[in-house]
Amino acid sequence: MTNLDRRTFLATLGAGVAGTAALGALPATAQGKALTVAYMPHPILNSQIEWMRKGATQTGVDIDAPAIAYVDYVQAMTAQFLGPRNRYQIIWNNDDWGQLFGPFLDPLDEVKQAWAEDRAWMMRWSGKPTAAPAVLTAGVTFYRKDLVAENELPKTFDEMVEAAKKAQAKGVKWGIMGGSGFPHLWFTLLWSLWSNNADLFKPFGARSWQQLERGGWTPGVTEKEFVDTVTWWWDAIHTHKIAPPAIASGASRTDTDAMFMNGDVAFAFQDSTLLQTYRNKEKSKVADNVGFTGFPTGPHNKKGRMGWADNWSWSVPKNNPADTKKKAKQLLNWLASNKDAQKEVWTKVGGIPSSVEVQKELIRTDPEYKRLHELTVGAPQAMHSAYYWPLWPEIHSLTSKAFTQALTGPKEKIFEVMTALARDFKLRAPVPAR
Amino acid sequence: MSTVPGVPPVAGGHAARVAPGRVTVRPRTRRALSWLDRDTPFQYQLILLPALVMLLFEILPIVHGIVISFTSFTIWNPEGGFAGFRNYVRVLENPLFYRYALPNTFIFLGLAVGIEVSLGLGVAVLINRRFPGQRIVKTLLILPLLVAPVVAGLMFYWMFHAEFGLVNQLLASLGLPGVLWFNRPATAFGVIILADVWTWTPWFILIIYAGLQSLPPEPFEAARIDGAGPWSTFRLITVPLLYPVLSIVVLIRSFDAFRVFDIVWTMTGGGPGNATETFGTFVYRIGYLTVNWSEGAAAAMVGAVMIMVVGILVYGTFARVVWGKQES
Repeated sequence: MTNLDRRTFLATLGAGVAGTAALGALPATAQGKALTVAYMPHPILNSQIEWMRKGATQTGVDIDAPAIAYVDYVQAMTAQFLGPRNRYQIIWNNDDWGQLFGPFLDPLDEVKQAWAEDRAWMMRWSGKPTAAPAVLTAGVTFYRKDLVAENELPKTFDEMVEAAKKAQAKGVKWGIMGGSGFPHLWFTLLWSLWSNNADLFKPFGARSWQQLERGGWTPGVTEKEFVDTVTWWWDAIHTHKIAPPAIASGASRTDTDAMFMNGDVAFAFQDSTLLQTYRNKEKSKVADNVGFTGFPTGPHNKKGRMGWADNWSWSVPKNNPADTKKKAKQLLNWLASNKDAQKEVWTKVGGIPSSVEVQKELIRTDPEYKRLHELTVGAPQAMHSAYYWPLWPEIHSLTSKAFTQALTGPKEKIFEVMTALARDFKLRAPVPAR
Repeated sequence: MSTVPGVPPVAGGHAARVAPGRVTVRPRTRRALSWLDRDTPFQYQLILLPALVMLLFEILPIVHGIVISFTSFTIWNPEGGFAGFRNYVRVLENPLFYRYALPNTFIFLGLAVGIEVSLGLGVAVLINRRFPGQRIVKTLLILPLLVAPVVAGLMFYWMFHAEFGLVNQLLASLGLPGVLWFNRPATAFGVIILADVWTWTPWFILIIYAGLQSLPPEPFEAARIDGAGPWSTFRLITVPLLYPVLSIVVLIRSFDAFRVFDIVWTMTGGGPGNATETFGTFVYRIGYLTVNWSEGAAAAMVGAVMIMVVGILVYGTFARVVWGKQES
């Protein structure tokens, strides 16, 4: 190779690498007039993205929405917040992450506050709203209408066992099913705890770190109500055999969907946003027979039927250029103010619209929505379904592991497992010390 | 010749080809550029770019990881601050680490790599001879290598699923009761190892087969003349001659097995309970699920030290065996 060839070769190679690096470093907005939206594939978010596209056409921008898997979502967002490249201009945000993402988000004062503050207080940072809720995701008990009559719907844990056994006698494989692995614990242990006067931390129902500190927090996992609730699940699997052992190995909500839509389960604990998927004849064998009800209450319950409904929202990361943030906020304002987009949250998917005005309209006009609303947002005991401080994912994960450990071990060891969990909570939970 | 006073002439360099009186390049820049032309061996110039990439994407992140492992850098405290050895202490005193992640990782490493190298060696010897359909068999054998470990994990998860799994359906068709594969630590761990063996044995086959192809024929001919049987030939000639290849494959795969993550995460998530937690899932849990990068980085550094020790031990053992044999 001659000197000239060598030089040309190396210079071209170097220029190519530098060019690629420079192109990669360009923010997405500089490559076009697109707003890039970070979201995970889910019926409710897919519907919202469709509406964003409609709104974007009116405001003269394009929407680029590459889907991100749920398991990678927080990592992708931390890269957005702390990395040099601001890839996303609008991000999906939910109540769990309100306090985790808060410092990195732009205030959304300009967006019309169509939602109720009691469902969105955890999305504030330094007193300002950092998220625009689009939907309230709420847990419900789906059931097979062909197996369970409406007047036989269970209201207590004991009645649930009986109803499940009765349904199994009619030929369905399992009575009840729900997700138990991380991060799906809402669909087994968590709803049953809150329905039985038990909670991960005492005082019961405290959700912010300030509330817990004021109440002199202690782990609630060794309390009688808690241990009794775990024992109820143990019995459901091992004694009554109404629940599949898959719950004990950390089943996911996808397992629940598969089993319910395949016709293998009478009752499935899931998010109401799966309603229209379950009723989709192309996907579900039980499409014509899907009903829903609230959660049964445990023997220690003191406040009546429990319901949880918390927000999924949209936010704008702080580290974007001012003009891009302005466009993103304009679009979110359009979306939050659009009644049709909000109605579709219910009609197309099965979720609860975040707009209070639309909720009221649907209560007047749609009896089925009215029932969902009463079972969740309007339940006598309305709970928030997460802890609103940064270590919640760790607490959730530890609890999920302990729950499956308790369910796979002998019944008499449940208290021992929960004692170890309490120790872990004390070791891992205290936020200020960390 | 250089046209700039004070700069030594460069034989055959770029400067030598520039006409006198037309030099506009600064001496320092010109000297730097002339490095491309001079007598620097071309291989060094070629290495420059990969070295730069390695520096940027491997060395610097490792250094960054070491630095943040001594801080309290988390998503809720992005400013960090010096934390000394606090993160390391938290990792080492975490029961999940010493009670589950560490023992499970070494059990997995020993069993998975042991089975894979044994099967790989056996199959490589079997296909190292002429037989009808040899090419098709060789192609089929390496197919699992084309499957990403995360996909393999999901495949095995659904195959062994308690409700829909193919394996339980097969057992049922034989009149046998289904097994709750992921409910018991032993069976869950067994399925994980099976998935890993399915994924990685072809890699062993491929490398060992290449090693077998390169062995000299003379020792085998001598053994045949001396009347050695197939087992004696395999044990006393094939395996010792393959030691250099075996040592490298075992070493590389041991490093890889130590950080196993995708197969475990997709199949059991470390459960039931903590029964199948490995070092990889432990680091992910600390660093990413709880978004505590400092502690996650400290955990990764602890792992790096451990795998270095394991590497030295494995390599040292093989080196002793290999060099010992060669000397004798």
